Amino acid sequence: MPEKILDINFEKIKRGDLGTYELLFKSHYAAISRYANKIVRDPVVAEEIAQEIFLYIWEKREQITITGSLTSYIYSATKNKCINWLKLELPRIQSTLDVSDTDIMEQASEINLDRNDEIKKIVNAAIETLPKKCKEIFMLSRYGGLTYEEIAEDMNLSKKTVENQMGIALKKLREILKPLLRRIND
Amino acid sequence: MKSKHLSTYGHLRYGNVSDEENVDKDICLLFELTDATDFKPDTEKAWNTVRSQVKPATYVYWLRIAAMIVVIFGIGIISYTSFFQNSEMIIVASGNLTKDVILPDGSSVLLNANSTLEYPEEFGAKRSVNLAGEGYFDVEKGRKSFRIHVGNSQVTVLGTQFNVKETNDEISVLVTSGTVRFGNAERSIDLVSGQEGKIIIDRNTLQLNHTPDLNKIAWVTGEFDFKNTRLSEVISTLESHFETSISLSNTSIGKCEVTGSFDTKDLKTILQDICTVLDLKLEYRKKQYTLKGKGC
Repeated sequence: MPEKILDINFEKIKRGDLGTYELLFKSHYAAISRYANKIVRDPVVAEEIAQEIFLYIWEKREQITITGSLTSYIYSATKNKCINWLKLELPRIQSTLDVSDTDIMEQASEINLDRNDEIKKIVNAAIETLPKKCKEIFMLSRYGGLTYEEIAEDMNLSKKTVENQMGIALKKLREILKPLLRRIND
Repeated sequence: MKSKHLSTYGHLRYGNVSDEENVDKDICLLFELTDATDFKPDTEKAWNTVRSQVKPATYVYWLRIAAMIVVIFGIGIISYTSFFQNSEMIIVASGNLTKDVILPDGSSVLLNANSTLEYPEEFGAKRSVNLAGEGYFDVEKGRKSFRIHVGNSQVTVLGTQFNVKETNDEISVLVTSGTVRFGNAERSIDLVSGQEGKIIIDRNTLQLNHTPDLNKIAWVTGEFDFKNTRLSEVISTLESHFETSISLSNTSIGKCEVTGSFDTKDLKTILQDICTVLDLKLEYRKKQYTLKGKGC
């Protein structure tokens, strides 16, 4: 994603220079939010995470030691926070969508393919139909970018279980999204 | 259609795709074209939100948080009736269940089982109540400070939520947010969010704990929350909550880490869940649970 390269001196922020901090915020906030959104798939959550990251940077500025670049520090902090969110918060959130598989399939055959938001709604609804654990594994793999080994280790499951759950997830999604896929490929 | 989306979003990464997943190219395509939506974060608005929280760093932060305080008390004998000379006293005992009590000023108390709350029909010059046992308070803001007496200690607040508990040898106050003054005749301490103050009755010492276990208020939230917590700690949390004893077949199991949240309703379900995740076996003999298996 396009991102202005600014020479931000973290030492200044460390000393409590709010101006430099503002510069850092304004130059990175949108990109960080979009990055988080790609992992958590929820713009509201993504912005919350981005704001928490920036608040954290300000509050802990004196303790933070940055070895690489400031930007890559922020990105990896964001990624970690997003993955934690997928692991800890996502399983608690009750599905707000109360639609059945067939409802989704029906909608999928009707929506306007030029409307990306409509496609997204269908895809998200399909993900929502996955069993809780299955959904968590799926999200960690697809969007968190974790390997099966990492997920297995994180969730105290065997690698085989993770593979199986992913298989189940993909099979179910393929089934539900079939009408949509057929239309796109036509 | 397809090519348009691919050229626009084709650079996106969406996890690890192994050979066996290639069959799902179509699905991958779907995710790709729904990943990048027209999400336009409002940097200015976000900055205003963040800006209001960063200066002065700590002070404003605490003020902003809705005041919520958790107070856990040790042993206490109700002996402050002199405070309520002018008004009829109401005594509520919860028995086996938890009980919701609304106080004259609109504050509310969720009283845990086997606890007693004593309060005047109408608050006079002071808002004072006596507690024996455990209660979760939601105190209305008011000009008069609100005081809870337990044993020889008091908790003073202006408008907050907190939990009060009685055990045999200690009085402790756990604050999840807001500020509260806690102490007895000799010493007192101001506690802020995330801190726990504890009076050990025998030694008459007042300790400050910066990292209290928030699962102590699981009875209010209805949920245990563990994050990379050693099983040995998880077990002791469960033991004190359910007032039972749980054993591990060997100590190395205790080193396994548990992450997740569990409904507080049923001990067996919690233990079964933990066993499934950690690949352990659960055994129940002579009213005693034992977790068996290889350690971590």
